[in-house]
Amino acid sequence: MFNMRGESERFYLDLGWGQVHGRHAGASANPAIVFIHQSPLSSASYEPVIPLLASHGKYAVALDTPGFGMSDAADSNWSISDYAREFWRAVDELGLSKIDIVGQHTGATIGVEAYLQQPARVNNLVLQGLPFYDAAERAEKKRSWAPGYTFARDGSHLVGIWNRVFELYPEESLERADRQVLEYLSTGPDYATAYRGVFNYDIDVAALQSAPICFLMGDADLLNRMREKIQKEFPLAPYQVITDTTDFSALEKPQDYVSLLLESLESESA
Amino acid sequence: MHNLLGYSERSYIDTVNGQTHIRTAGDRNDPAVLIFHQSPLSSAIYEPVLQHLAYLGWFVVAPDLPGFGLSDRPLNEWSIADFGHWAEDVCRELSLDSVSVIGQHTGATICVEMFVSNPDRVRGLILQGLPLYSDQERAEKISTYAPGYIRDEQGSHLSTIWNRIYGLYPDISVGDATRQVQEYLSIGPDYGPAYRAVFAYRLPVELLQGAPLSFLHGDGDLVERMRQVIITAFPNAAYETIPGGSDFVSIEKPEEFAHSVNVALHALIAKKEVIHE
Repeated sequence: MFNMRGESERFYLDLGWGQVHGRHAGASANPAIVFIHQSPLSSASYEPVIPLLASHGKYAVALDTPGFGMSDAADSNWSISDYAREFWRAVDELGLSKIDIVGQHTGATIGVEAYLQQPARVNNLVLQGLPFYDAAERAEKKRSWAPGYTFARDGSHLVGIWNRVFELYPEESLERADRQVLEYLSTGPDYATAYRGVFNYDIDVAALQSAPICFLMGDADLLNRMREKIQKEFPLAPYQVITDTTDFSALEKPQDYVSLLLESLESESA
Repeated sequence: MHNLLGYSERSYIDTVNGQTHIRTAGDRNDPAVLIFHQSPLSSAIYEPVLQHLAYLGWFVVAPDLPGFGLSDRPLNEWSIADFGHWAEDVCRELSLDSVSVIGQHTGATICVEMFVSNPDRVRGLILQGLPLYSDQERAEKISTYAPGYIRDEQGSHLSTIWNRIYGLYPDISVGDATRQVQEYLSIGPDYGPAYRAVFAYRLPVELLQGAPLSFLHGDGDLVERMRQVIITAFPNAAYETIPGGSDFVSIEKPEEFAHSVNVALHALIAKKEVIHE
């Protein structure tokens, strides 16, 4: 992978209010998996696994969430419900009817809402770290989590982003950190747009009890800390971790990621 | 313009070198203009003028050069001739038999190569700063001009990029500089391949005499320092500067830039048609 580029094919969809950028591989008639990335990054987080999934007979697609990567920004601060509605419009544009959804963090929240909006179209919902906060945590996070940055003549905003990336991910590679800087800059000084959607969204646990959910994430994914709480609330959902990986398991161990993902999808479908 | 988005339509086309990311504006039936950006940036620097040119009756296509912006990177080191072949391929993919071209610095060199290798296709050339170096300057620049950056844990490469941008353009806005950082990061630590191609390319001045070309750039463009050399080499070509414009006159004065482009292209095309009659 080279920054925002890789082996998958990149494309744009026109959704009327703007363009949505994505990357895909595989024949579109194959069973489809659609990835929704975490904030404030882009579909590039999934680049290496897309061609791999295609080689396993899947049609794999990752979309840049509106306002991130190379997708146009939404007109205003969207709610998770807005993101989910436009996610389905993008899926419609791609001509897909039933899909598997893989969502990470913000993307998991959008995936949950997308499922609730159109449950019949979701074969499997794979949650790669669900931000399952209580109301107090959400209020606190909304206040403090994503303070944004200010363009400064001395370039201190660049250093600020760099430091944030390494505070969150001390083991991140320099090359991937550069890509993250690019993603933070691409979305702009207020990179919290979709975070706010997440912190305003109350996950309807009851409505999800019969959903085809499974959890799959790096053992060092920032949201694996919620494991106990998640397993208590979703006792029937399989919960798997990818050993020795972080939030970026798809980049760190693409082969392991794909094997475990395919395993999860098969067991769920069965 | 703090990022690579904008109001034109972005898309990808398949070329000899994988995917080329382009932005387009205007009616596809209108006469076409291709715009080639300078190193190591992207087509985003033309974003503000595209709609103006479309309004003036042009179908405008601004590609990211291979390796830059969102376009796939060449597998080996390309020469300007390779970039020229790629530009031909862009025309073929878009079914453009006849085009006008605008290019800045590296992009100007590509325009020249396009014209020299297929003069019938090119109706008019606007060179926005032609790097007409002497052989000695080219030899010096190839080893010194684009040293690249090395990533380190402190992120000091970000400061290196930032300082380079302000070293070249002391008056650039912080938003535009931030966009340039994205462009530098997008190409990666060795941002020099297209520069090296330019420095290795000897501009065929003799083949351009009589070409439908004119010079147009901001009076603060870095290449304005070559004014005398250019005027001496191309005594018959129009040479216009836009007051108060830097390398980024397309962002600073988009309407003025589009207007001057429009006037210059119509003049070049009319002249070429007269000669061909």
